Amino acid sequence: MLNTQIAPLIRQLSHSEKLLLLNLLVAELLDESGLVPLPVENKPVSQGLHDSFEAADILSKLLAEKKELVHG
Amino acid sequence: MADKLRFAFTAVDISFGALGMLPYLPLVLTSQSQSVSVSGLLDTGSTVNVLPYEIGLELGAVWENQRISVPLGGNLARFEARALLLTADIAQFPSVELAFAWTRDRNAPLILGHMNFFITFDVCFYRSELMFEISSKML
Repeated sequence: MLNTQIAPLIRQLSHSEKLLLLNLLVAELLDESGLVPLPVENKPVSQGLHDSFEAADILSKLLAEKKELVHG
Repeated sequence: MADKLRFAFTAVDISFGALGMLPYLPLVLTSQSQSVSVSGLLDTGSTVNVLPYEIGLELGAVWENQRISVPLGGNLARFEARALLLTADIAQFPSVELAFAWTRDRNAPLILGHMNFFITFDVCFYRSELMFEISSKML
């Protein structure tokens, strides 16, 4: 299928479209593997569980929402 | 009902004697109707509770149904984690709700961290005695 149908279509794509397709495939593979992309921004990266504050904040909000649902 | 309970450290590697002993807490986790008996490492250096992938599956949790992504750092940053709320029963204490970062890492340990184990329980470590004591803040 790849050679007969998909490959000719891919060759018709522009350079930018091929890059975007590549990006899509990488994202799909990462998602299927349960992996998260490596950070590319210059923001500080959490070094470990000791400074996963964003994660703690998300869990805290989830618990608060659940409590609100149960107790009103 | 006792307001404080003491537990012994668990031997993880007996070849190292006391150095190979760590504070693991026995607890029963429940999700809807399924329960699993586990031991969680009390980790004051962890901001969150962490649930290994397999235990979540044993509890009947469905990965695709957990929509809230939880970004973890360090070794666990390579794996996606999602928020999962579970009921926990610890000895004679009243049941509590614990929020976990459910990681796709199949080799991750079950960690009890600040959010929200240490928010729910006070813990005193007696390392020289290889014991720890917990008390519920709800009592």
